[in-house]
This record gives sequence, structure tokens and C-alpha cells, in this order.
Amino acid sequence: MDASAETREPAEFGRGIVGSGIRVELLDYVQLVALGGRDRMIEVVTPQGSCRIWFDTGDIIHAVFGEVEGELAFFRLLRVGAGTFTETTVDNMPTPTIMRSSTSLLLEAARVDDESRTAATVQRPATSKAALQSEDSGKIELFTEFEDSSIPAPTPPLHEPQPDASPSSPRTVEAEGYGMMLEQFWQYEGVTGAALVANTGDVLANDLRGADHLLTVAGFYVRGAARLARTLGLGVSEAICACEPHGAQAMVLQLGNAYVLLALGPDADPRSLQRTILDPQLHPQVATT
Amino acid sequence: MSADAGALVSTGAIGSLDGVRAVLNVDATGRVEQSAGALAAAPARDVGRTITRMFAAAKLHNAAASLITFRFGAVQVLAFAVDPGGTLIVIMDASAHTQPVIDLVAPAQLLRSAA
Repeated sequence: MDASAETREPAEFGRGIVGSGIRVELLDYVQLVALGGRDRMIEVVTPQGSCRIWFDTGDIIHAVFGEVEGELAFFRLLRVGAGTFTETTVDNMPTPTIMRSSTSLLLEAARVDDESRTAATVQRPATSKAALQSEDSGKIELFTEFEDSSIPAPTPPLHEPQPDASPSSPRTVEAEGYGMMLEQFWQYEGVTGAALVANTGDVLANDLRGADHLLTVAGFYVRGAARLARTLGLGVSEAICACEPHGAQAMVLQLGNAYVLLALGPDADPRSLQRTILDPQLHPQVATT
Repeated sequence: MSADAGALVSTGAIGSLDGVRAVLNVDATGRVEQSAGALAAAPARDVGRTITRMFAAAKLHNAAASLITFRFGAVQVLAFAVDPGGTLIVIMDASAHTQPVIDLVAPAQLLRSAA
């Protein structure tokens, strides 16, 4: 912290943080806020405009950067590379545009960061962070390695495994394995769709047959269940079942490091199904990742 | 949730059922209006807010739910949408039967949905 920072007015207690001349990695800072599990809005002022990010109980639910909203706005902020931020509490949350968990979003951001660093090494081996030194050291400065527009833009977040050109590649074999796992659930009466989702939020296999919207809702259910577990001091959620007013049902079961999402018809008995699937003695062939 | 919530959904009656640990009546903003059981105010508020947002998210994505149940080992949580924004939450032993709770809430749920 330099002398000019010390002359700035201190942040008003209880109204959030304003910068004080500290340089932090954006991803580290976002992770810190996410782990805090609080409601926050961060405004990052960059040379290319301001970006606002909303956290709902630690989950990043919305981001706006100019005309861009959602995950793309968050990734665009990473590309800019430098800025200052202020953090405030919020009472009214905007409509969510980011559905995946903060953990999943940050993992994707880290992947994008890694790929961009690799590209930067190839194209620009002499990149120096010194160029990022801000004249205004009175605010917290966020920086990444994406300051040069010649670096390829981060790819959009992935919701499904990317196809691989080689039919015998490990990724293809893996996808076939997930598909086989998913097929097991069709033997149960009342199942109208199924999907397998990693604990990072990535969809490993999807056979929901017209009920794909449940993938988004299931993300809310899983994150909500995790919060309930933390609040109530309970273990990990084993099963979540949601009944819709017209009779359709959705069930999320945790199987090892993955979740299975089942769409169920009105006549299905989710409790019986849950017991059957979760009890290895009743159904030993269900494998987990 | 309106002031007549207690007349439609008796948290006391539900709280007396076998295996029930806590009952929360939550309004549309996530504020806990009534509670029965041993849950302290802060966790009750967090639970209410979390579940209220889950119902809102489901509705936003065209998958409006009337009942969401969670199972955590020895504990289960039942969350009922008892009016367009209100929520009744029951925390109970996983081994306890849920049907008596559902039977008590369901008429009120229908009444409030029709109101």
C-alpha cells in the first residue's frame, strides 16, 4: 500500500469494502466472496467500462458488462485484465442469468485462464505485469493475464462435454460409459428422462427427452440443499424430490461424485425409487463415477 | 404470507406429529413468521430464505414446484409452496412418515392456491 492510499477515506463500516491500494487476482477475490456465502454486488470499473457481479448467498447469479449479461459478461471481465472495484451489500437480487455454481464457474474461469496463458506464451513470451501497474493506487486493482486483445477470447462456458474428433479417444470412451450408466435408470417405472451431472455442474450424459429445463432447476436444488446442510449442520444431501402442481416430478440423487437427475411421471413413487437406487443391496449394479 | 396463515396451516398441529423437529412458516420474502420446534432464529431465517429462492427459481424456469423434499441421512426436510409466494417447511426425522404432514398441509395448499 502506498502513501496515497492512506489518505483516502476509510470504508464506511457495514457498507461493504472499497479498495485500499491492494493488488489482488480477480479469481482469488471472487472465490473469497463466494466462500463468504453472503449477498454482495461487486462493481469493477475497467478501462472498457464497468462490470457488476451479484452474489446470492455466495453464488454468482448475475453479471453485466456493457450490453453483455450472464457468464459471458464474467468472462469478458477476465479478458479486460485490470480495474478497480467496490463491494456493497444488496437487498434486492436481480433475475438470475448465471445458473451454474460459483465453484463450477470459477473452475471454468481457471481453465480459460490457463488456456489464455498458454496462448500468451506462444504469441507473446515477454508479457510483463508491470504494464498493469495502475496510476491510481487508491483502489484495489484486479488483474489477469488477458490484457492484450490479440490473445484469443476465452471460450464460452461449457455445459456439455465437447465432442472429440477421434472415435476411440478417452473422451469418447468416457462419454459412452456415462451413457451406459444412464441407461440403467430407464428400467424403473415412471422414469421419463434422465441425466448425469458432475459435481462441477457439467452435464456428463443427458437423455431428458424434452425436459432439459430441469437441468437448470436441478442446479438450484443442489446448491440450495448444500446450503441447507451447512445451515442445519447436516451431512451431504442424498436425495431431492420436487413435485410440480400438475403431477410431474423431478428427483436428484447423489451418487458418488456425480448427481443423477430423473424426470418422473405423475404415477412414479419417488420415495420407493430413491430407496431402490440408493440401497446398494437392492440395486448393486448402479455404478458411480 | 398473510396473517391468516396460522388458521390454514397449523404449525402446532404439524409440530406435534411423530418425528417432527421443527416447523417454519415463511412469507414471500423469506421472512419466518411462525415457527415451532427447536430451531434457532438465525438458521430458521437462512433455511426460509434458501427454500423460498429455490421455489422462485423453479417457477422462473417453468418447473414450478408445490413440494420439494430433501433427505440428509437421518433428517429430511419437506418444503410446501402454500400460496404463490409463501412456504411451509417441516424438518423431521428421516425415518418418520411424511404422509400425515402432507395430509395436514395439502388442504391448506389447495385453499391458498385457489385464493
